[in-house]
Amino acid sequence: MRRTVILRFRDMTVEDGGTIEEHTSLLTRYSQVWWGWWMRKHETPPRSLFKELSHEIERESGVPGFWFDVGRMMLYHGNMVDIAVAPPGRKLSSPDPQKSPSYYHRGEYPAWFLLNALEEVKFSDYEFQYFGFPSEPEQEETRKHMINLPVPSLEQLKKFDVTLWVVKFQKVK
Amino acid sequence: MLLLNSPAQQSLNVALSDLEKSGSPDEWAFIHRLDRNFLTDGFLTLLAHYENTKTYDVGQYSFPYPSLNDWIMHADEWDKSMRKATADIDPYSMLLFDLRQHFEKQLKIFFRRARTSTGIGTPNSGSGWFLVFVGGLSRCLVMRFTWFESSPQVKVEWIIDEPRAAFDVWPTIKKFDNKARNYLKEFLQSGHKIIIHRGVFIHVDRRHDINVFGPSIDTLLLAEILAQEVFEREVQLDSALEVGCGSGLLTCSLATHAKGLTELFAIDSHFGSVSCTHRNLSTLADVTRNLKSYLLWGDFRSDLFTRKFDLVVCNPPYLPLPRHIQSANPHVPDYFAAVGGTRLLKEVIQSAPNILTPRGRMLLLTSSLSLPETLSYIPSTCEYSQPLGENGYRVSFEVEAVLNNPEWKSFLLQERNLEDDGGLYFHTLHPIWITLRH
Repeated sequence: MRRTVILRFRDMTVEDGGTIEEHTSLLTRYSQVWWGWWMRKHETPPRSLFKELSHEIERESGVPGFWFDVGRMMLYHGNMVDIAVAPPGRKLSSPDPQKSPSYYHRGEYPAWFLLNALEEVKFSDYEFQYFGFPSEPEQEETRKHMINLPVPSLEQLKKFDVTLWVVKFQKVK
Repeated sequence: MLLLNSPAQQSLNVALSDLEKSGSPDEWAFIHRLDRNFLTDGFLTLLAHYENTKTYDVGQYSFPYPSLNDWIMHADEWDKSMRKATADIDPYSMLLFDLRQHFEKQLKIFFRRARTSTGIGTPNSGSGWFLVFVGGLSRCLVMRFTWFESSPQVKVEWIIDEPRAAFDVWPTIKKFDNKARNYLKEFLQSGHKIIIHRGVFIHVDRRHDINVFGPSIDTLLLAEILAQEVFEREVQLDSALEVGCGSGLLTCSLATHAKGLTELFAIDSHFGSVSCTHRNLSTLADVTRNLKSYLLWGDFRSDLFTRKFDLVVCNPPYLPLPRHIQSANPHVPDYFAAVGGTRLLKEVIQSAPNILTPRGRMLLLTSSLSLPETLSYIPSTCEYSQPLGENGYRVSFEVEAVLNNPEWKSFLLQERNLEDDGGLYFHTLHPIWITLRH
């Protein structure tokens, strides 16, 4: 099984489905699109995880990732080809406004992921195992027992009050 | 570099020293976070600090660029390297990151605010040039803006060190590459003149704001003195007046930064200037909610106001006219009036006892060409001081009305010590504070 991240999102400032639609339309136009990772106030950007992912991207020309729409309970699979991370305690505006949806333009986010693919997938097409909750390091002890347990459903995943999960995954079909 | 050691600059300096001792950039970041109106000039602190130490080594951390200018010019590539998840970020880089982010945020806010009121760009099509004065007027950043949808993008294209005129581009244009040279020609021919200084955005539309004066290096000098001696010291002002507001830089500075200001007056005899000042002031609506501002069109006279002000600022015409030009032109042409004669200077200075509150101060500008008579106008009930001492601030003399008039030019060269440096002319600006004698 391969390790990767799942990022939480929801259509907060656009119509239902608008977040994915805006990203995929830029992806069609430019072959790449920046995804801004927002996090909750109680979360901390997992800098060492981002560093590891960056090394992996350099080695393998990309790292797969998943995006979880908690409003519509839908899952997307994408390929990350770059990561931009703000220095500790800071946030970044879009690394390239042309390649990011306009609703991001005034905002600043702790990290950005550059994708060259993003498509809807079925949760049931994959097996996932919990591998970590690095954006909430203080909860590490209480969640220790979850590590290596299967993720049975998107509903259970959603119950964790985080915007980033580290999982192991493999395709089953 | 103009450095008058205000408490705010001292705080930034302490934050910088703190970083060197403890390795923590937090205090520096904290000061910038509080600076919502973008008054602080972090470039000034860095330049002042490293000019003294003559080194860019900070403790165990080494500044990777030979100079601050070099860093500014390569800031985009530097920023990309900072965004790498694999980057090792030292505290000094954090400090520069905070400085750059604060600065860019300021510029983007200004362009968003000004877009509708000034027509400086429509989504996906607008681009242009602007100048930003930082480092205590020691650096003029020649910058380009472009719009991407509703998002302004900004980039430094060139830096002019120690600018001696507001649009002092020609003397350095030879150093530019061809691309930059073409850009700059475009800039100088553009309909929009945009200057940013200490959190104030001034736009002059050359097509509509006919004969609107400034912003000139004179006005920028007064604005920098106001910033360091009034705003950064958090001097409480209830009311202020600008006489001869031109394009509105000083009026907008007062509106943005003056602590406690409730009433602001500006007067100019030229209607276009009043209109331009109004437009620039209107972009500050969200900053100046509690301020009552009054813009007056007409001539200033010492008996015009029956009230007093805590602060009066004025950048008046200060170029003495030869006697026969004065007498031969009772109805002095407009361009003479904008720069020539000392009538307004005298009128404003002599009105000080009538228009200043007991704690009030008047800041005005004169030149080495007219300093003796300026001082002679000061009433015996007042006293004066020179914030830049007797050395003043040497600047280019590029007043076309004079340079195109052989008699006037010869008068200034021979009788007023206008400096002729191989065909380039210079004089020295002397800002003066006037207060009531107690």
